[in-house]
Amino acid sequence: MSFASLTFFLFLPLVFAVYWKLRRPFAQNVLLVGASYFFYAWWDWRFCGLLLLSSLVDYWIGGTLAKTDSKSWRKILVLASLICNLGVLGFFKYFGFFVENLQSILSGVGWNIHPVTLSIVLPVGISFYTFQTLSYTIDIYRRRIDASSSLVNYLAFVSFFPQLVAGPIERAGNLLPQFQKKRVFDEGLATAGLRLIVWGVFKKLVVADQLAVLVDRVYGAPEGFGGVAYGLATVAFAFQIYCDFSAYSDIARGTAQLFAIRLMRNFDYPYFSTSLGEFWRRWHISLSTWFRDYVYIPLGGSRVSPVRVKFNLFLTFLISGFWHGAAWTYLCWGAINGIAMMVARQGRCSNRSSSTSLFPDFMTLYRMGLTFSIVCLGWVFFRAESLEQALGILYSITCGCWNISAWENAWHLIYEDHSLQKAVIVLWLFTAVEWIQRARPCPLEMPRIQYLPVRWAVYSLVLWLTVRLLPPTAGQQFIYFEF
Amino acid sequence: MKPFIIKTVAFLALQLCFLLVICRMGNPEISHTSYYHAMYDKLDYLESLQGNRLIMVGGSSVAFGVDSKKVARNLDWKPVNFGLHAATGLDFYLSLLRRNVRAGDLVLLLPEYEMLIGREGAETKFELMQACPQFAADLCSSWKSRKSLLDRDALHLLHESMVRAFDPNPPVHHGIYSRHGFNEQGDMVAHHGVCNEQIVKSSFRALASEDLKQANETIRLLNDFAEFCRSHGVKLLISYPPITQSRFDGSRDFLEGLHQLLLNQLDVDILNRPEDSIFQEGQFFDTYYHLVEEAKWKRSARLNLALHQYLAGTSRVAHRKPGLIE
Repeated sequence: MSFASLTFFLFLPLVFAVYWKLRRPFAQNVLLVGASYFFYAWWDWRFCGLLLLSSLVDYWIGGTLAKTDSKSWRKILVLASLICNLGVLGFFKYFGFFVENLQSILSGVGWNIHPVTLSIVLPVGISFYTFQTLSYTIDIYRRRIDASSSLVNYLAFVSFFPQLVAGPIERAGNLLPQFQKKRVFDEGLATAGLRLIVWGVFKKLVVADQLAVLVDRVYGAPEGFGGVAYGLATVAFAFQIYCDFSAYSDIARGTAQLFAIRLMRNFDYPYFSTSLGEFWRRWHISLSTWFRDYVYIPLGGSRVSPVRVKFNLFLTFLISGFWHGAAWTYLCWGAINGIAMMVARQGRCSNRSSSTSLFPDFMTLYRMGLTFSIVCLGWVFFRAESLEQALGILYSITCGCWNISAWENAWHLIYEDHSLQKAVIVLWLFTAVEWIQRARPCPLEMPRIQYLPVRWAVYSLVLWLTVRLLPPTAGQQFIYFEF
Repeated sequence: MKPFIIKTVAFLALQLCFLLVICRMGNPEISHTSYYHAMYDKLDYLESLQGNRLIMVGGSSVAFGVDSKKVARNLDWKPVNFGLHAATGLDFYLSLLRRNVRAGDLVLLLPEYEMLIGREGAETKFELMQACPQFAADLCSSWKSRKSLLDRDALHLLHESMVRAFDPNPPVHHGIYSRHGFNEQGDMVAHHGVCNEQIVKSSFRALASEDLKQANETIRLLNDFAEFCRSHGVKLLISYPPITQSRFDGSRDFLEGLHQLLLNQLDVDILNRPEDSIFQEGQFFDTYYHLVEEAKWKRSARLNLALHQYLAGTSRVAHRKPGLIE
């Protein structure tokens, strides 16, 4: 079930009403588990079996880990958890990739084989819940948290529907205790949650889906529109993926807040960052911190030699790229970001946070522009269908911008299509609103306006603008569902 | 919690009032001569025919691309062109057929590729529902279409209402896209002799193999319908829509994959292959599914020949399930 659908807006009030009617945490958790599995089964009921299996395996391993003090037995258990989770992920997500590449390597040496090709459907959200359950067992192994004594609480932690499909990837240390204690309805939290939902729906349906029209048209055109159009489409994609993914996170956090559950913040206006380090502290925060805690630090983190630190950084980003998808383009995306972070670390680029003034100074703007450009370089690989296409696009952007026809093509592209003009205007307005409101967790927060009718007028305007500006392609799946 | 509930309900009630106003504004008086109203005429004609009928079903590629009499020449079935618009989805036609076919009929499915991969258009559904509310149930006849309504189309229907509410120039159905553009059998004839128009090529992108994933749901629907036909003594066949050479070349993997998928999984005989429906770009009228008069005759002649060959047992399509056509 997608957040941006009528189905969800019928489902949510129903679950909300029953949830607060039930007073006992146990009953509330049972409801949440049932609702979450229903939510997940709406895509394909067969996915639920895998989710349940994955949850049960880690619940058992977690419980057994907590009961034993034997070091070797603990190691075996955590290794079993790693093998199970990564094995499932590897099979569903990477099997085809490995088979295809093995086939091309072998055919390169003259050995033509016809391997078994399985038509494997990637279960929605598998990368997210696998990482969440993995962090649970690793944290128990590290004695940072206690194992859950209640299966229902644990199942609620893994399958909690707001964040089940695309995060934020929650840690057991934050989310599990919230399912264990009695929850009290908090009006302020719930109201803030509704604001997040409204803003998330706007971001997804208006900004992301509107920009998708431009991006799909340019990236999907075999004849090519020229360097300027590719540059424009890459910037549009940068905002499309940001609005798409952060919208999901906003709606997830907002929905959770209606149930008095606080999820971690996943995005913090990342494109206003003035350095790459800052960008990665503000982009997909739950994944970045996951890789920091479970990959980068175990590799030695920053406590090793400078060369090794850089290698650790590179490797972490490479793995992060592979996490996003089984394709060379994602690996390149990870590698580019890894190299950029290594260079940034070498150059001791500024790590200071962005300015808070409405009109930033030239240096701040320059740094933001530079950071954004490097991020966009990576997005070309992230969006392209193949490495050849990505390299071709980069070549067009760098070498094809200097002729007049490239500018004419871009002009015609925008001028002839009203939906693309709308996309550009929406992008400017959206960026301006986020810039002005960037000190607040949600741009719809208006603490200075106490008068209710004015606030309602703003919320209504956002809602009806969403309906009015809906592009024909609106309602597509969130991009991160593919991961 | 009470103040929160009261405020939320009040806010939602306010939005509902806006919605009612918008829906009221967005539903001007409907003319009875719209393109969609032609479906009433097609149904009336179907009902009026005595004896066995050849019902050709699909979107506008059937309406604009088939000369019914030519297809049925020297066959024992009286033809009816049941094509209207691909974006209404296949469910719509199958639902109408379930209510209107009878033993001895031959149903020839000629769905567009978009129809086979379940790509439907909320705007078209909205227009059809607005023009002919009686068809609303047919548009949501299956679980898939009801789910699609909840998951996706409802938003677009709301959007369409709003666009209509504030659009000073609501669409007027005139010219060839009108109820009066069809002949008695249900073929669109108003475009005969009219110069073909500039076609927006970008909306006819090549079909990718990934799109095939969506075809499984359609195959399930068709197999259910095939079962219905078998139990009601109705004969069922399927064929492919017209396609340009360039789109065919760009979509080879998809088309080959689709043909194999239909051969392997569909319980319906396939009349011919996708390449049998290739036409040059100049033979299309205003979209790459609507044929000009001359090409329409060619296509109809090809279909007639394929039907004769099929009935004589000399069809070159290898796949043939026993018992469907005696």
